[in-house]
Amino acid sequence: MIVATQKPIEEIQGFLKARGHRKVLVLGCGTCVSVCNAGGEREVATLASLLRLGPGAVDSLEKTIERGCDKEFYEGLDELVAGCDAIVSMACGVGVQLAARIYASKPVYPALNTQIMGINEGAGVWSEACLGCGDCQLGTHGGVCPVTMCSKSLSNGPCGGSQDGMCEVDQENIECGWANIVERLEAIGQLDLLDEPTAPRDWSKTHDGGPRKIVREDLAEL
Amino acid sequence: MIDTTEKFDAAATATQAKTPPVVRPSVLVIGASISAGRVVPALLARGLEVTVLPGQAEAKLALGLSGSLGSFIESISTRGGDVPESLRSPDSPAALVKQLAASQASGARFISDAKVRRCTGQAGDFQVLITRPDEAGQEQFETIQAGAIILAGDTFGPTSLGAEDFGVEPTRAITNLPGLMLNIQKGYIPHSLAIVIDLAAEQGKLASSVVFAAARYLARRGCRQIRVYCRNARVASAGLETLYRSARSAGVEFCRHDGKISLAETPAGLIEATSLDCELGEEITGQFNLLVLADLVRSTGQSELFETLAIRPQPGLAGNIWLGPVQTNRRGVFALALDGCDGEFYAWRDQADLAVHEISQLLTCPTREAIDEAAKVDSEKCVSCLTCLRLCPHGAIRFDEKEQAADISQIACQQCGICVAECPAQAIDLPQYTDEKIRRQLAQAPALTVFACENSAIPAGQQNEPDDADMRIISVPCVGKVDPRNILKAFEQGTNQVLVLGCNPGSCKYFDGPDRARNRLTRLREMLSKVGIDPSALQYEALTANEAERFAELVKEK
Repeated sequence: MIVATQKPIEEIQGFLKARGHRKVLVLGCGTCVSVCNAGGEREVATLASLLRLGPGAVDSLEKTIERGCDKEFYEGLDELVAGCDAIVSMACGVGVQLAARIYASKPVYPALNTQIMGINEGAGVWSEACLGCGDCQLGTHGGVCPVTMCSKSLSNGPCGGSQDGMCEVDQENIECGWANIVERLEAIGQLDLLDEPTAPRDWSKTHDGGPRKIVREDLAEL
Repeated sequence: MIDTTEKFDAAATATQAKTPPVVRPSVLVIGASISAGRVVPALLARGLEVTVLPGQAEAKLALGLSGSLGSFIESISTRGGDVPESLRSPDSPAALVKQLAASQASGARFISDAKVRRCTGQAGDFQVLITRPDEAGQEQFETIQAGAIILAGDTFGPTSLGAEDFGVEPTRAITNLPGLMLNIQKGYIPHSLAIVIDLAAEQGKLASSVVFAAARYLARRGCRQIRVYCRNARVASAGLETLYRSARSAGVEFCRHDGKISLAETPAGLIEATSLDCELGEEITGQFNLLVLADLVRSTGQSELFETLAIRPQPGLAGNIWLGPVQTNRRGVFALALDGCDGEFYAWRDQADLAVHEISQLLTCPTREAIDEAAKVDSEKCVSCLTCLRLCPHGAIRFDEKEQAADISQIACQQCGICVAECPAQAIDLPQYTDEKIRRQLAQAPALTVFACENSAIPAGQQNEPDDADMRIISVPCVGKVDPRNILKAFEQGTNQVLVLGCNPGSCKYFDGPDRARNRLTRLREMLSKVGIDPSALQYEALTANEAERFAELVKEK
């Protein structure tokens, strides 16, 4: 799931103050950011209240749609949007961009910092687990991702900064991804996988090849 | 003004009534102490199905702490020794152990060597996953469904310290409390004996009772020297002081240690104990044929089981003053005889009876009131984030696969509202405290808005409510129910000051309310300060139900 956190409120207020917006729509998303307690109905109500209470007493309307990354869910918002100077989106970066695309003449500001695709470890705790590299290597790495879990995204084993299973980037908090790969492969009896020489990674499949687009011919509209 | 709330509530109740909570007339008993011997037949007699996980083969049932305690008491009394009042039980412990084994014939199912792996579900409808080795040693999985669970001690109960805890090689000359009891049963009287207690932690009445009784018994039967090393002799229980005094007059020495004692084995095979005597202020050394490390400590098995069952470490009153003696934070899970370190022997029987009573109430007649007032999830709005399930202090919430939404057990819910105030989608409501009701109370803006906990601040306020104060008191079941949105709403309506009055963290009826509330308030204050509202306009204060004057002062100051 996509995990986001809220921006400092003064940053959000800064957007509105700089352009003198007096009336805004605080637009939440009912999917990932609701689940990660950052941009659902509750947070929309909280932010809208704070904007009304804050300097300049910005008039704020509240709305949470099912999913901010599908244009259909924005249908029916036209009237609401038309009455506002700007939209403060509490969706992830995807939702902010789609809203900006849909409302071509309306400023859309982000209220969140989109952080990670991660595991919800328990209430209020998330850890990063996927970078969306487009060429999943989990099958040959014991289910531990070398791209995400190694701080340097190394493809061919740990660097010299791996000590006692911890990563030199933060020896207290970050485990060495490669140490975990080896441990896990050992546990499932597949350590031999690391004997195979691997070709250099094709980074064009990641974002390094530019913004990616996926088209499913069979599904795409006729 | 027309009050629509009542209609809304009635409608909610009507929908809920269509799906009564699942209540299985069955109980899982984990552990096989003397209490289990009392509980199992009683549950069977009430027509409940019972499954017992004794932890070990039934033949060994009498070998646990309570089993050896029972045999110890019997062997003292059959040999003409006095059984101290603190250890007397109306039932013969040996008979109870036999009764437990015999309950198999009356329908209880025993599964030995089972390990509890997971426990899902809620009071009335638990699913407990267990594993156990089959004949070939392969792990077999089985799910046991139960309406309630009893932790009945022993297989996971207190264990004793060992020689290895002191860096001394295990030797026959060092034993623990069950070992001492076994020695007495076998008629072994050592030439000289040292008993050390209060090393790991100050010991309770049970350990003290056994130590005093054993020391007196052995002193009267020819043991030449008996020295008890302790920190404090605990005598605050029926007959304990008499027992202590008579042990002294029988010749038992008592020495106070400072929490440290060093042990060594002499070439002659004696154990040499050296410690600092706090009374004399000097080091004392003694050599003994037998040394007993008498501390009872909680076993790691018990801690693991608690974690698996999602129960907080301290059940009963000791963990929370609002809990009954055998209740745990997870509704439907009861804990007996876990206070081996602190309990009194005869109290075990009362605990067992209490658990049987509470379980039969829980499984046979959940009150309508509880069902009507439990928190309810709007499954259309639920985003399946699991926040409520993770934060519920009572284990009352599960994820309903069919509905694809959180499901709050109507009998396990304690109506604290912690889930309501955290739900990111505003999908949960507590019928007696709907947002609608609270918003209506917030509609007029007094200078001071007080969110007050019904268990502390409300009774404190009622005793001495200031008359003409420009304030509004909003009653909440727990400060864990106080929703930041409603606090902001109060400020929006023009209130100058919001005061949240709740219990002290250790005495919250719902465990987490004050901590949850304070964490939320910290975040909210930060946000308020950034929008230019003085964060001191929002405050949390803790008080108790009898602090009427403090309540008056708190609201007056604002």
